[in-house]
Amino acid sequence: MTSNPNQQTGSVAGLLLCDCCHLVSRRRKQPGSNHCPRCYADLSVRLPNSMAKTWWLLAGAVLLLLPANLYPVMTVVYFGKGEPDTIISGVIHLLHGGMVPIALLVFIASIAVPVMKLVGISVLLLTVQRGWSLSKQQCTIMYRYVEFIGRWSMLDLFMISILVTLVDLGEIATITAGAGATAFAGVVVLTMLAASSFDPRLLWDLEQSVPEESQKKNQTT
Amino acid sequence: MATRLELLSHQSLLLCHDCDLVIANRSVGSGERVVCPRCHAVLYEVRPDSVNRVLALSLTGLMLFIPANTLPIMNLQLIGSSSSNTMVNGVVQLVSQGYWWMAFLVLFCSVLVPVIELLILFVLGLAVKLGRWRQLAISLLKWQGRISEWGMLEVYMLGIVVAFVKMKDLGDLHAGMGLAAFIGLLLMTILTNLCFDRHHFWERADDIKP
Repeated sequence: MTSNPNQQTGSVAGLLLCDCCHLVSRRRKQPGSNHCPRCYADLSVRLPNSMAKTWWLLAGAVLLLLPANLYPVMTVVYFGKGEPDTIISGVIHLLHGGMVPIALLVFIASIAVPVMKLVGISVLLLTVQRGWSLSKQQCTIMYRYVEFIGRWSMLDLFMISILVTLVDLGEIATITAGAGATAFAGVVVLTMLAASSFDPRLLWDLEQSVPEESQKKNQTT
Repeated sequence: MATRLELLSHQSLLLCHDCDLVIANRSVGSGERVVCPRCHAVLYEVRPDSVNRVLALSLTGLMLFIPANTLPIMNLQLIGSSSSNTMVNGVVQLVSQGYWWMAFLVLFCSVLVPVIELLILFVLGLAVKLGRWRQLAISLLKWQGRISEWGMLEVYMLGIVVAFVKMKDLGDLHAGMGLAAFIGLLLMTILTNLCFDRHHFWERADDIKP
């Protein structure tokens, strides 16, 4: 892939990109930390501890995913009657009520997106660690997709915060939040943090090392 | 290659934030984008008249902020009783039910970050336009980059839609004045972000005399 000799990376050229203001500066030869000349942020070649941080955040999100789906997220009490709804039973109720588009929307935002994010980030991490030969271009697209869709999982939480005050009619009807919502809020935050702590440049570093190794092999043989 | 790089000044080179490729900067016209040739990340995009537009749009958004947060968004009537919701009330109700962590997250993503971001962009616009407060402008730009990901008004809008569809069969459901203000605030936030040229603001902030 890196057959074009003009394709040089910043880490090879001794250049650093400021994560904060995107200014390019030259890496100092002497030891010690580098600072951005424009905004004084700490500079590093790759996000520090990116892999470990992302794995831990991901593990936390996977742990919280269970209570988020097992415990009820909200309870609708209508004339004294009502039972708690989990995320999945909420979707099923919407389906039975004939509200298919909304059911689909809630299913995508609360179930499909978190699961796809967890799988997507795991694939990215494993690609970097195991050196899987997936297309770096497609991995980067997946990374951008994962970063973009994360926020939409907040849909259910916003909806609950709207419903708890909208349906507050004392004896007639009330809606209360449930413990599952707290866990789900944790899943959303942890997956968003995991996505932003992953450094996609690690994927492209693989691209560089592969041809170098094959060149060495060619030279030795 | 290395010696050739030494000769180039820093500003004439760009690094792709997604794949670390070294890219020669070129002059780009208004509305044009600089795209990484390897991973197709958008490095930056020149947005026309960014400072003036950001100032006008963020000020409009700020004026809509208080009505959007305090006027009722929806009103539900059922057998003589009625209740309505505002953005702030939802948070208060969650706290009173004991879900403080969820309440904090909703408050943070739908109230605090949107208003702080608009305030930051407005003050930034002023600083850059007046050519003053260099340190302030640089810290504000940093904070904008950190928090903007957590502003989720558009997701909240979808939450309103879902809540509306879910509850429309329960009783008489009406949209309140708060909804109009909220939609205005949402539009201003989106437009401000579309007009905000980060690259240009960083360069202008750097040019301010200390």
